[in-house]
Amino acid sequence: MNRHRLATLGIPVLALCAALGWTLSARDALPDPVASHFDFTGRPDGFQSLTTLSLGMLGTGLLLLLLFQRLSTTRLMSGIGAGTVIFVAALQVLILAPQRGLADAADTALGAALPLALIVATAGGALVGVLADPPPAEADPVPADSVPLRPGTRAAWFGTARATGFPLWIMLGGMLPLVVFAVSAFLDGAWIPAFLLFLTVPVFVMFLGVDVRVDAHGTHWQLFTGIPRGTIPHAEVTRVGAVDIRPGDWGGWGWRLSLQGRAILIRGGEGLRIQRGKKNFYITVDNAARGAALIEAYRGN
Amino acid sequence: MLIQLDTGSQVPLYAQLIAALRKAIVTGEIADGGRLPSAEDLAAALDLNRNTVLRAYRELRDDGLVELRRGRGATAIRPREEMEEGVEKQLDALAAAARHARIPLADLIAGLTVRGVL
Repeated sequence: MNRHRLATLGIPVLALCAALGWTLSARDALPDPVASHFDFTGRPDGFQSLTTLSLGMLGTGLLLLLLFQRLSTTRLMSGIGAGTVIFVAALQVLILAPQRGLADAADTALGAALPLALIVATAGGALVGVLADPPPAEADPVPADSVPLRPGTRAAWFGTARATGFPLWIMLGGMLPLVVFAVSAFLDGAWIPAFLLFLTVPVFVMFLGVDVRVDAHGTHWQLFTGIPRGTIPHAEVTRVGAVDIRPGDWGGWGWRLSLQGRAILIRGGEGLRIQRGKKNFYITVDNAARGAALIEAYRGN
Repeated sequence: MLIQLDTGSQVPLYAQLIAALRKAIVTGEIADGGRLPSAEDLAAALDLNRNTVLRAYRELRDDGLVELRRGRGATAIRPREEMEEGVEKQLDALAAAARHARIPLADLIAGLTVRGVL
């Protein structure tokens, strides 16, 4: 295990284990059930058995760990990922600590558990960010192999990318609670929240896939739903190549903006990097080298 | 999937389109069950009439290489037998050899005809 893995995986796992160990040691002093949820004033309004609460913490922590392992390709994302897991662990300890010695969890005075957990998580995240040693991004795009384009030839390239595996599950996992919330808001007669929640569903569907087409006119792309779409005329392209795109460098999947430019990330891996002047446009697509080669050929003509 | 058509050739564009699509399906460049571009998109990309593309798709359907369904568009059916892929590979080799020796298309057609290709 290298230093990067040790920092991004080891420190959060240590935090989860420490929280679990502390919970087990404090078990006898805690009421049953324990307070697990609090209202805005800090009074308990939700109760669970200690086992359910601990399993919930572990499950959430491990799920977040799995998600952020894919995204920890920069120091910032490594720190955010580890900090999120540490927050889950710290929160468990800090909401249970004031409940020690109480006969009824309803008497819990939460105190400063939430801001304290945030401070611990930020400090832990910062530590991981400093210790993390993410692998460097590929320095230069793969040069496109050439497509011979004789006069009188009409050539077109079609490429697609579909969300599969991990990003797909993340997307569906994010969509499901939204649909549930939307339906329950609708049934409660909360029309406006229900409408707004339903509006977010097409955004998830949009990013299930992308179709890219290169022809004599330019590079056309369209998301799974057909709209949004766009065209990049060959005349505006200053450089093109096939690159390995890492969602962690962009902070996740979907429509992304950063100092590097714009990106449409359906999945990690192969994609096109199209440079227009100083602006870059990244789009994930299978067999990107082939598409890049055709853009290059049209640019040369 | 890369498709190249030669407008200067004596071979009709629609026949070239069928050959290019057949190659893409048989060699697996389009996966089995994979979606082909819509007739509108393919026509726009190659400056063809939409009916030309539809005609090509129908011919490939009759050859068992494409499934056409209303609303779902065209999907590829990769043939089970290795035979068709073998022919595509031999065509690649033949084309490379012919280009290298500068043998024109008409001679290749004549050569295949005397070997009994109908």
